[in-house]
Amino acid sequence: MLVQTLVIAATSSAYMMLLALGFTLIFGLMRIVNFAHGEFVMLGAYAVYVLTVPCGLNYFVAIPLAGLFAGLCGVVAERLIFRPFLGDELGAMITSLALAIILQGAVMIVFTVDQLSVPRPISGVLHFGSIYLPNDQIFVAGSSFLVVIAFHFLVHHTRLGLALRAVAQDTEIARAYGMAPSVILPLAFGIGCVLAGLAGALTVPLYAVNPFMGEAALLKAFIVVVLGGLGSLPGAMIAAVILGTTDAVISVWFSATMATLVSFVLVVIILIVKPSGLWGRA
Amino acid sequence: MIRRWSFVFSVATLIGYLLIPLLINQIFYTHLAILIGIHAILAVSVYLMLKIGQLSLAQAGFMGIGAYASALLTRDAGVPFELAFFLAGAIPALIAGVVGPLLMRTKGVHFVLLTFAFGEVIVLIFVEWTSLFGGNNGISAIPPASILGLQLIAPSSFLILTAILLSIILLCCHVAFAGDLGVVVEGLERNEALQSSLGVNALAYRCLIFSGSAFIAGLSGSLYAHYLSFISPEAFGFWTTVNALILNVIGGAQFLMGPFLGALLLAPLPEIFREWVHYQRVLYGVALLLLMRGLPQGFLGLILSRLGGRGNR
Repeated sequence: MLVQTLVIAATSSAYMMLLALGFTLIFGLMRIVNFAHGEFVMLGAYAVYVLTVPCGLNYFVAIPLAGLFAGLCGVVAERLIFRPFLGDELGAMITSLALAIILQGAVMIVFTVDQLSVPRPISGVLHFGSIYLPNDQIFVAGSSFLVVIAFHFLVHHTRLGLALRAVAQDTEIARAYGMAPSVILPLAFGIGCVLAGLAGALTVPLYAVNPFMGEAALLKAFIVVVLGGLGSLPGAMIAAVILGTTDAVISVWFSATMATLVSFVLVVIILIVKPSGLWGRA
Repeated sequence: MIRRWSFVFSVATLIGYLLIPLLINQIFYTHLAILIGIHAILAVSVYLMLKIGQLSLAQAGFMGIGAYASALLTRDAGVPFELAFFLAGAIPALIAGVVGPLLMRTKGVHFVLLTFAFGEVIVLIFVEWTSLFGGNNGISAIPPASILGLQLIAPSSFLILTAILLSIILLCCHVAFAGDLGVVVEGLERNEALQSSLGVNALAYRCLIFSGSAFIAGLSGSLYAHYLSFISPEAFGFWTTVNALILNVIGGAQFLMGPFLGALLLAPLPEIFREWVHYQRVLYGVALLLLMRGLPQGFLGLILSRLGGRGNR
C-alpha cells in the first residue's frame, strides 16, 4: 500500500511539474497568466488522438509530435495574440481567456463534445510480492521526469537557457547585452506549451479526451504555481512534489475531491504566511 | 450635461428593456429578457470588483451559493421566497466577508488565481456533497418565486421582478459610487498607498466591495434557480464568470451600464442561434480578442467618446 501510494505520488508530482513548469516559465518571462495553458494540454491530447487513431501512428512516436504541435501553436499564439499586451497583466490575462475560448470552440467544432479515447499502449502490472504497480502509470511518471530533467538541463546548461533566465530577470538589461526578446519570448512561450502538450499527450491513455479537459489541468498548474511562487522554476518543482504527494496520499485514503480541497487550504495557509509563495520574489 | 443625458439614457434603456418584451408578449422574448437580466446582474458583480482594480473569478461560485441556498431553503425548509431571496445574497456575502481578508491579502494576478481556485472549490463541493446538493444531477422542482403570496409563474411577472431588481442594484451602485465610497474606491484603484496614508483602511474597503459583489452574485443565482426551477453545478463554473467578464469588456468595463449593455448584446445569442453554439464560442473569443486590441473601452466607451465625454461612471 505504501509503495503503491508512493508511485501514485510520483506520477502525480511529475504530471504537476510538467503542467506547472510551462505555466510558470511563461509567467516568469512575460508576466502573462496563461489561462489557455489547459487548452494547450488539450491540444497535445487531441494531437495524440488524431495521430494514433485515424492516422494509425505508433503512440510513442505520436507523443513528441504532439508536444511539438502544441509548442508550434504556442509560438504562433505569442506572435499573433500576446505580443501587444507585454507588460499589461490584466489585458494579457483576458486575451489568454479569449484564446482558451477560441481553442475550445474550435475543438468542439472539429471533434464535437463527445469523449474520445486512445487505446492503452501499455498494459499489465509489475508486481513484487504483494505490491502491484501498473505499467502505464510507471511510464507516465518516468517519461514526465525525463522531460523535466531535459527541461532543467535546457534552462541551466545551455546558452538558450542562460538567455531565458536573463530575460526573466531583466528584459531591458538582457536586450542591452544582445539577447533579442522578440526571439526569446516566442521561444519561451513555445517551450512552455511543449511541456503542456506533453503533459496532455502522456496522460491521454489514462484519461479520456474532451474539450473541457483543460480546466482541471489549469487548476492543477495554478495551485502548484501559486504555492511555489509565480514565475519561479525551482518553486514550481518543489511545490509539485509537495502537492503531488499530499494529493496522492489523500486521494488514496479519502477521495480525490478531498485531496483538491486540502491542497487548496494548504496553499491558502502558506500564502497567508508568505504571500509571494514559497520561492516567489516579493 | 453628458452626465444627465447618460442617466436619462440609462433609465430609458431599463424601461425599454422591461416594456418591449411585455408589449411583444411572446414567451420567447420574455425568456430572453429574463436571461439578459440574470446575466447582467452577475456581470455587475464582476464590474464591482473591476472597479477596485481586481478581477475575481469566484463570482459564478457565489452565484451558485445563492442559487443553492435559495433553492434548498424554499424547497426543503419551507422558508418564504422573500426571506430566501435575501439569504441567497447574504450567505455568499458572509462567506466572501470571511474569506475576503485572507484572499484580499493578495492583489492582481495572485488574487485572480486564488479566486479561480476558490470558485472551483465551491463547484467541487456542490458536485461531491451529494446528500445535500444532489451532485451532478443538481436540484430540481425548485418552487417558483412568490412575492406576498403572489406566485410569479408567468414569465412576464418574473421579468418584472428581474427588471426591478436589476434597476435597484444599478441605482444602489450609482448612488453609492456618487458619494464618498466612489472617491475611496477610485483612489484604491489608482493609488492605494496614497489612500492608506490618508487613513483609509484599504483592506476593509476592498473586503466590503468583495462582499457586496458576492451579495449581488448570490441574488442573480436565486433568480436563476427560481426561474429555471432546476440547477446543477456546471452552471456555476469558471466559464460563467468568464462570460460575465466578457459582458463587461464588450459593454465597457469602466461604466456602470457597461455590463448591462454587454448582456443586452450577447446574452440572447446562444438562445437565438442554438445550433451554432460551438461556432459562437469561437466568435466570442475572436470578438473578445479584437475588442481588447481595438476597442479597450467597449461599445459604451465608443459611443461616449463620439459624444465627447466620459459620462456616467
